[in-house]
Amino acid sequence: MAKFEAPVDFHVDVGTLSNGAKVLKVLRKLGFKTVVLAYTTTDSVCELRGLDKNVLEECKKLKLNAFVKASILSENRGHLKKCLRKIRSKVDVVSISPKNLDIARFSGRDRRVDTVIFTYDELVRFYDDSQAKLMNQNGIALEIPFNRLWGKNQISYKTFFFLKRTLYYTVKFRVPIIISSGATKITEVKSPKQLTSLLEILGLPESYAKLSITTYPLAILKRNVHKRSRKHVQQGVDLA
Amino acid sequence: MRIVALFIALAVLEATYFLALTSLLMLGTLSIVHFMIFSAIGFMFFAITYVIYKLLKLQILMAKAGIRLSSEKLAIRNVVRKPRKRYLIFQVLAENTLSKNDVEKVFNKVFNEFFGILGGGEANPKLVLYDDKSMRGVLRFVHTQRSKVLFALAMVSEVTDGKIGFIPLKITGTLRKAKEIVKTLALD
Repeated sequence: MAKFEAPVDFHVDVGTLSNGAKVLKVLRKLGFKTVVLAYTTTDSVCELRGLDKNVLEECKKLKLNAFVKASILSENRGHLKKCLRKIRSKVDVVSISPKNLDIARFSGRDRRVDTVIFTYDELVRFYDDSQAKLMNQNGIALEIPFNRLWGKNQISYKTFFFLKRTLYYTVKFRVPIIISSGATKITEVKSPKQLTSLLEILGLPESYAKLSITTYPLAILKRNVHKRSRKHVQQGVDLA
Repeated sequence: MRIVALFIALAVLEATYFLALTSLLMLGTLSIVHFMIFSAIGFMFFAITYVIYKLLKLQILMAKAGIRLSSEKLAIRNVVRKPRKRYLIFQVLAENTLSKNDVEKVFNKVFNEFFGILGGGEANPKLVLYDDKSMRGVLRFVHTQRSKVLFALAMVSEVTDGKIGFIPLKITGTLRKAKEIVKTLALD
């Protein structure tokens, strides 16, 4: 039985175990109780990966609840649909990194998608009021990986302007927002308070900022674990 | 707005009442004495409606002023709040060992880049302690600016291309406690 405990790091790419063990250790030390181990794949390849046994053992040792997430880089709607059909029931969370507006809108509309990952470029190009409305209607969360938000040349006042605009749409249309670390190595790991500090400096109160690493990600995990259980028949139809 | 609409509706209702009274008088079904009595009652109702409308409007105005005053009070309270110190214990992760000067330089660069002189003045961050061997240190700042300091620490790894990482371990209220914790806390 999976446990759902906050805080959650919703995107950790551990890669190999030698690197992963260190990262997981630091995450535990920083207070995370649940981690979502992500792997990235393109929609044309659509690789399917489970949890590595060694990584799982490491998580158990550290008393971390681990889940698997497929992060799909997508450019083609047809490929993406095929990929979602193949992957949806096999992983705990499905996220999409849209590379064009069509995919962004599609991922905002499709219920098989849990989160849409927006880095700086995508936030600027695709995240507007219609995207936020779509995501709100279908209960899809906006995910911002902290480390992938800043390119080397992109840290400027404009970054914060667009982040502020994003926050405006997110709050106005009540889109759940998730801040994840997006860590691939030990130096990129962020503590829960560091993750929420991004929203706090943009003007969101602490209590609301906390939801981005507690309530919202846990709600997605709970929903998906229930969906994958035998009790679930269809949306709104469950076996007693 | 709703109150104005309600007042207008009541006024229209009373105007209709007067119109009905006048027409009844014209038709001769109502005597002049009765007309006077009913008109007086109508005027009384209108006066009462008007007074209630004015009172409600006044109450709304007072409530608005009260909210503004309380928010201003809160803002002033934040300004006059005594800046208390907080001590953040952090761990530096880097390939090479970093000296105190290096750590101070990196942090100050990042903090100034994001929050500038004004933010620096508000948060007043200062590296109080740093141990080269364990690469752990204590950073002092003003208690209201916690999120700024944490954000700056998080941005260190972004600015240095992931070569250096600052990981906050604990925040305390006194330096003595921070020193005690530095000895016990470790990532390994």
